[in-house]
Amino acid sequence: MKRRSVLALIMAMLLVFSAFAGCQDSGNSSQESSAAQEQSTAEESKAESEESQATQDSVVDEPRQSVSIMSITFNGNPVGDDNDRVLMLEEYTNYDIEFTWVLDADYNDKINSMMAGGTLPEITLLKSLSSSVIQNCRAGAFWDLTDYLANYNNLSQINETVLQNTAIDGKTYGIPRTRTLMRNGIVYRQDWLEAVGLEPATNLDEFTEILRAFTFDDPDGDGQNDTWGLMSTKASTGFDTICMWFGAPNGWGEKDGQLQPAFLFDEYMDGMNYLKDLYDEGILNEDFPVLENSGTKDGFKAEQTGIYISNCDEANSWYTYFADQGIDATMTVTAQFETPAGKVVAPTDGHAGMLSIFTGAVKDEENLDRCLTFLDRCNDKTAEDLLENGILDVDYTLNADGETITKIDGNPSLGESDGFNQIMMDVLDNGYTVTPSNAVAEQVLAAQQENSDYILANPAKVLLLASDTYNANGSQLDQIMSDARIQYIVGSIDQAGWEAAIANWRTMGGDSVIEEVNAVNSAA
Amino acid sequence: MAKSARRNDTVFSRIFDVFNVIFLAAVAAITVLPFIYVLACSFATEREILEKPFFIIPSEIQIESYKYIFSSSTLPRAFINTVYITVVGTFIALFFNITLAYPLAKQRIMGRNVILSLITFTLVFGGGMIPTFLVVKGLGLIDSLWSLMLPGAISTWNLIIIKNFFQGIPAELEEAAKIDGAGDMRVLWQIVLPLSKPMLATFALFYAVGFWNSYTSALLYINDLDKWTLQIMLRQIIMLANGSIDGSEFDETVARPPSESVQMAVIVFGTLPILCVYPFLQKHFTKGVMVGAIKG
Amino acid sequence: MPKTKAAAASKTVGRKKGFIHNLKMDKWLYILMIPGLLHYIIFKYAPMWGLVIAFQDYNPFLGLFKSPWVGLKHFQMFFSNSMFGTLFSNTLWVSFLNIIFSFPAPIILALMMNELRFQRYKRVVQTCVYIPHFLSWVIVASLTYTLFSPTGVVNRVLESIGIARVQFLTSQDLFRPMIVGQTIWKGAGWGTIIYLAAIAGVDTQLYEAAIVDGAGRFRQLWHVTLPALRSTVVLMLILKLGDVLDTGFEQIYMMSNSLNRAVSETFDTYVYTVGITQGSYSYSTAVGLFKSVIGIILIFGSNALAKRAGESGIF
Repeated sequence: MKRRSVLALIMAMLLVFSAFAGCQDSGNSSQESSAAQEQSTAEESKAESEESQATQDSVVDEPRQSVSIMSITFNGNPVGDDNDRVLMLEEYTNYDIEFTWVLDADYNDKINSMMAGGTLPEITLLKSLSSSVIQNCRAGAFWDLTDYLANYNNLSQINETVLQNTAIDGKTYGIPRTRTLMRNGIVYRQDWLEAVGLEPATNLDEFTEILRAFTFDDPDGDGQNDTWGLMSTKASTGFDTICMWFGAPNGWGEKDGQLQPAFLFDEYMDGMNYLKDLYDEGILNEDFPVLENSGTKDGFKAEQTGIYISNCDEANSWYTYFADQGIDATMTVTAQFETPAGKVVAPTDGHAGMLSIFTGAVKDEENLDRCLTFLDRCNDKTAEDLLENGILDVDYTLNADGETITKIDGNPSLGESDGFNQIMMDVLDNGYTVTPSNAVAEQVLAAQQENSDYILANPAKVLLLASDTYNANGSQLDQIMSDARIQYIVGSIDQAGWEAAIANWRTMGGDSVIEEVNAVNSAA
Repeated sequence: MAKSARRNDTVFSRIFDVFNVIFLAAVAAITVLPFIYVLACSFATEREILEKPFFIIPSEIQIESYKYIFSSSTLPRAFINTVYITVVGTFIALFFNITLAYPLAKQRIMGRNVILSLITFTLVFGGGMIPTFLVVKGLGLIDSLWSLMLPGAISTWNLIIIKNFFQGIPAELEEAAKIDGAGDMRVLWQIVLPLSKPMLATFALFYAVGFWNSYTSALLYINDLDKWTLQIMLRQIIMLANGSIDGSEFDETVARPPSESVQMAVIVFGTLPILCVYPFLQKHFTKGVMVGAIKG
Repeated sequence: MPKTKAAAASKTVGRKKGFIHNLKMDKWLYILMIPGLLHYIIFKYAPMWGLVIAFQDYNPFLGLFKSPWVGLKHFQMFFSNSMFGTLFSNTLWVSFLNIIFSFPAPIILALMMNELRFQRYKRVVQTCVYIPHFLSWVIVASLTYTLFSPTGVVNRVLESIGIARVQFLTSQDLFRPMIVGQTIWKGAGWGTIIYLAAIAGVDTQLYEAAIVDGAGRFRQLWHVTLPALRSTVVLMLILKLGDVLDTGFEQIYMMSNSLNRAVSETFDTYVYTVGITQGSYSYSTAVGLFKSVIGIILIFGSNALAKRAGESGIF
């Protein structure tokens, strides 16, 4: 025992001293040259060494450039530099791509640390327009691209709405990862509908009837009262949708000549009363105030609920789940039904963050052009097919019509790796080939297509970003109202309590937010 | 403890023993059952996990989730990194702590109170994430496993307790050795450390667990995926499954969260190895220290 | 306390002989301290400039020198917030209950385990009780939910014996007991380790002497074990007081919801909502600074009290 611990201690000491020696060496070298310089010199030497061979096999007739990019991985197993898809993308774009992969948890902290240290790569994926991102853009950390996009084939065609939704103070700080503006649809358990003898709803009354039947008529036929008509979670994001059915605006709307948040509208109260009745009747799940955000989806999988009103892409994953687990379930996906407010559906933001260019690593317009050219090429159909579908005849095959594809199970060229498609911007919206893989997927696309005609947009979405009070205090303000809403629905506060919450919201900064939003609105 | 003490048991003492055994059995059951549930889930089908509220033995056993873990190249590699920083980090930590705590336990050291005050200050004050990152970067430790071991090598909380343990060692022992001509280093090595075995075992465990769980530092200081640690992977998988990662919910290009059983298997994979450390250190807690034997 | 006397004696001797001599005599002790002190300078004090960002609108891109100075703006915002009183009392309540209930739990548990006669049983119990420490708060929260939700196992049991359902998770009255319960469940077993180590360090001669004096097991516990634990307990208490405004973020955050917010919003969750999600490093640093100042006052204050009461304290 004693001899072992002596050895251990000696070992430890040696390690410590070697560590300090190591610190000093590398400390000296990195102190002198800034990270940005290091990066550019590394690039130059790399570009030089590969110039000769690159020109031979690249599509574009120019020396091969390089670009560094930071993106996210979800399972921690991102594609390697020698992956076929990466090599093919490098060849197509004629760029050597130097990836920095980061897990998406606590991604903002990572960005901010690297920014403080000056080591952020040239192109960085910003997952959403969080306050932190907004502050960094305002501080000049990322290039203002507003005046540059017109020069590029694809980047000049970014959807106007999406561009507006990603703008900060009216300026474009990144290439949006464009996503369809309509995600929503209503997913039903078709076999449950059949069991209770009903059809998908065409209006609100029919919908309520289905909710009731799904709760009390034992749709799963197990003789137990173990289903909920409607399931929500502690985030309760779906409640706003339901209030819209009663005529409340999406987020903000015009009232008394100025923009005001939805909860100040009388119609919002109607929606809340509808939900309150559902809760009191036992149709809305009792435990929703404490249920984790994934609760509704888990409930659908666990056959506790048979209706889902939100991003109906989920139906695709449930289809796979039911098949895998041998659960005999069928689904129907429909578009919005008739409500007191007509057919209204909230759009999504139309983007999943953006790819921005770090001013600390890209110092001049010449290098900016290098980065933008790369991003532009990534939006070509060939590149997008590579990013999303993979390699022809390895990951998918082209059908006889030459336009639709059949995916090969398991994405052979990627295997377990992920994250590669995270840099896909798709600014042309579905520039790559999409083919629904099954009947449900077809319904999903059709429902989303139809719902695109019913879009009710939030007029204050962009304006809120300009409100200083909201930037400083927004989360707290939002929380006050979402708390009050849940408290009202479960009955722990009444109408007076709700109004007290609104009064509190106003004094905590809500009034200033309204003022600031309207000031920006009238200025525009 | 000496068995002879218990020969003349009173009735009350016996009743207490029975109560004590039963009570602690209950406590053990309450604390261990949830872990067994996690273990059971890692072998159960996803359907069973979603539909049953609680179970100890899955009705249908699958090992796909463990196959998933071992088939990916990332998790085993992260495991090796974590074992490495845990083992090496713990030795480094013990070295730093002992060498600093031992002199500070001596009242005669000059500037002791100033040093201890400054050290105590760091119990509650710290520079924060970005300044520490810049220091680590300035030392050139980014992307080196040293960045996961050196900054955390001294926890002030532990250091203070270790120092107090040293202070509790009777001074006569050291005085006696010194009269015999031993220097400070020999006293530390031959008298103080052997006496401090339970304490050393305790803090070896504390530091080992700390290194094993290193998450934030790994997240910030490591870009090279070959050097990621297990806890990063673990947290990521759990967060992804809980939908607590922003943005992912509305992005169809996001990989689907891993199934419940994979999550549970990852938890088991991430905790079981470090759980096994304790039983090995336990013998040091159950032995009383024979101060007298050394004294004589 | 013979050791303190001896130490005090050696101190006076040291002073008489003068600094140089002292330095020479103890040169190895001073050399030993070098790596540890370097560590403190490099990793603990070098980043300490980060505290000044509490007085700035810090932006990581602009850095310390270019970020605008805003004086006490963040402190004013924090203290003038109408929530401040609620946050302060919620935080103190959780800490107070934790000191009353969660703090003694591992001590009692360690003493009970120490009284077990079968060593093997003792080891099994020890290994079991420390397992929860390794489950993250996310897991603990989801287990709590499984057990205590309206349709959870506990409520089913209550219903089957004819008791009405209890809203464990949303009730404002039950929030604090649930938090304390979780803390004890997760931490008590782990907390025993340090006390068991302290008990193991007790000189066995003391027990033998007590037995000779005819002391039974409970009197041995009272006269030998507990006094031996006292300095560890006092030290742990002092260290605990430093965290009095630190309720731990994850646990509270996971257990809070819209219905118990009035009691569940503490400094840590508040800073998360306002500071972190809003990306304001300066604001959260300002709140952290406030918590730290209170913490250091409590540490030094309680340390002074402990010393006056004859305990060794931190230093």
